[in-house]
Amino acid sequence: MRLLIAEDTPSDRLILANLIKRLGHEVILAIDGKEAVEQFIEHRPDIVLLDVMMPYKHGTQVAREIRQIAGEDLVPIIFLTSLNEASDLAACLEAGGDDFLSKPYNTVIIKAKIMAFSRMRRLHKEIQGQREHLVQEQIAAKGIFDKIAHYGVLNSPNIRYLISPKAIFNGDVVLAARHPNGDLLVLLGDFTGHGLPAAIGALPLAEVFHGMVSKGFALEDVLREVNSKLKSILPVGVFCCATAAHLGFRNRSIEVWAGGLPEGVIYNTQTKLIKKIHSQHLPLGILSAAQFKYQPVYFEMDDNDVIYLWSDGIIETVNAEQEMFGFERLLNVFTQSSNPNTVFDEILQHVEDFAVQGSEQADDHTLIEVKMQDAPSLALQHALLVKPKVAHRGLADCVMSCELGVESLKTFDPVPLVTHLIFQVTGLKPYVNTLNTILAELYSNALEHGLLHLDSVLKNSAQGFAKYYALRHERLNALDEGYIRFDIKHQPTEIGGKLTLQVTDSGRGFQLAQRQVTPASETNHNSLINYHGRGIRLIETLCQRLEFIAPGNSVIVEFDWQWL
Amino acid sequence: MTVHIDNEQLAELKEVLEDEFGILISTYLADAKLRLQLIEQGLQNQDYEAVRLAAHSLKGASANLGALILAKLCEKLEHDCKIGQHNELRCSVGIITEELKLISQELISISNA
Amino acid sequence: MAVLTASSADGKELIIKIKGRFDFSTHQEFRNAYEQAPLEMSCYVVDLKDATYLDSSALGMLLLLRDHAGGDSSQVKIVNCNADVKKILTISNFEQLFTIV
Repeated sequence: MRLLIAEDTPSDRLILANLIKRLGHEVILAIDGKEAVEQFIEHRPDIVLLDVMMPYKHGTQVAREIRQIAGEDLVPIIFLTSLNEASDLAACLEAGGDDFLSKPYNTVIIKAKIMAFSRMRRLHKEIQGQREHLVQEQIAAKGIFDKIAHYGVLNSPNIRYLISPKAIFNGDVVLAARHPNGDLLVLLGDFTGHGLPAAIGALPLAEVFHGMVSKGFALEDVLREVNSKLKSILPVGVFCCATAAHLGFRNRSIEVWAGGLPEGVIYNTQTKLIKKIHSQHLPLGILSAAQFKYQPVYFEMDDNDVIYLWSDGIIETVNAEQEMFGFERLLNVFTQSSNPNTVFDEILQHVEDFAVQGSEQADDHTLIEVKMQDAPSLALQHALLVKPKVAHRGLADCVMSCELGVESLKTFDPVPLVTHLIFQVTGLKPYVNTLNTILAELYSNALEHGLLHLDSVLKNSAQGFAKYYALRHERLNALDEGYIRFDIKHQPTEIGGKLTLQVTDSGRGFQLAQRQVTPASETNHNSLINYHGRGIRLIETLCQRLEFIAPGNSVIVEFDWQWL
Repeated sequence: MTVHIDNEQLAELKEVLEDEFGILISTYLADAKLRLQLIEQGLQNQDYEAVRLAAHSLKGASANLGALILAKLCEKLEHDCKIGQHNELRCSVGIITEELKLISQELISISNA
Repeated sequence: MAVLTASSADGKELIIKIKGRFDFSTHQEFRNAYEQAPLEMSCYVVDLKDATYLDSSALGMLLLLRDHAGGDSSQVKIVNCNADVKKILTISNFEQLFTIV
């Protein structure tokens, strides 16, 4: 250790210096108060021995100055004194002294005190080192978090979000990604645990989420996979509370799964109605794959709907009287707001006003707002503008068939699989959005209309919407026979290729004039729309040919494409 | 016989300082002489604060060298200055001067031994 | 002591009482409470009558207890919850894993 001895009496100084050198430490000397401060600044000793009565500056003043210079560094200061009045000694302690050595010097006592303070100093330095290390780790973890948060489509025009700057400490995650057909999936998560343990869960969560959504997997499949992954990675007792929503612009529905987070809200800017999103599931990462429940709630999507999700930071913000902000106050912000474009800011403003001034809680919030309006739509008629580097190797001429029976239909979404098969024709990859949309539309028609006999007219009323999906769930579970078959044929041409897709369901079809369709006549048109839903119109615009095979339970589409 | 110097304490110091023991003695004596001068000066100028401070320093240094009686004398001088008791100061300083002479000789002979 | 343990008369039930804040600082004591009890407990009861606050690490601790008690075949009851505590347990849907009274 390095010790500073500030003592104006030369013989005393000599004795001490020798003693301390004998103990194996380095000695810096100062003969008065002024020099004491200068020596401290220059040499930054580990321990300071300070005479009280010194010329130029009193020992207590020196102690104060040294304390200030040292800042957070814990430098023990031991006063050397032959003062014996309690008031004098108290003044020394108040000035920042840690202990006393009285004259005459007792070598045993000096040795003991130096040893004790040396040990303390060493421990302190160790802790400081560890803290530095921890801070570095947390900076690294924060870097990871930031990357996760800003990946995906969170910067879409219809999304506003705020991630707590302390996300690294409280495990908050916000994710948003798009299905190839333009549907938006968002997830707000809150991991238990802080710092690195939370980051460890956030990484696979984000990877699985973005990876699967980009391939068109349904929200249920994504959440099942996330849950399994988290359950296997996270220790028992660590889990992720989350709310996830699938915003289906194609079929005008909002599908929500909530597990463990406080209620979110769907706010309609025109009617001012508020629909609450209740947590009905256990958080992610607790149940095994077999036990995981997926019982979402469906809402009909209105153009003026806006979804709000938040972590519990906002609700738990306390004021000076230890009252919590609470859900009621949050709802009030919505009911009192006059401008839908400022609701986001108003929420934050109210919470800030409520919180204790200057407290850390004031900005420790995670919040996301997603509007149905301004949702970016995908240009389906054109291929992706970015030309991916496609190798001209892969499938060329082929015929494939894939038939799903009842058990498969109940638990498996074949669209991502079939999409994947088709993309083995590498030249089709730029057309991913279009093809995925077509496949999804044809499949859902085959399933919902062909096999489950659901009438999309039902979706037109407010209650009808929820009823539609409840019926879908019920009938699918009760299905005991039936199939859906995909027949895929691809033939390369000089300039690209021709893809022929046929989707057939085992239903009874609908009455149709025998020949090919152009839904020119009114009756054909209506029955077509009633049977297949509005989506069929869209498909027609995307394909070169669309034909219904009698009795209407099979559809063929042809898609010609060119190398870009 | 009154003990003017604690020989045990001094022996310990000798052990700690080894070769530097002689330097310690001469340093002390030089400083003690200086302090005494400051005390005399202070008395003459009626600067009792100066007297007090010098007495305080000499007290501490003397205690460390085992000169217990000298230390006690300085303590009284310091105290009297502090409480404003100036009558006996001249007398005290006289006694201190004598005591210092006495132990000086002892210290020198010990260090030469 | 924030955590007190007691057994039922027949020694088959372990009762763990939490006093004050049930949060990360209670972690070690809570673990000791059930780890140091004999393994043949047939039922565990967590009494939250005097618990003032429950946070997510407390939920995690309950899951650890459940795991220790046998996971899916465990019998863990959470009793005497006040309104705030009950709300937290309800939002997390913990009644799907524990018997909450």
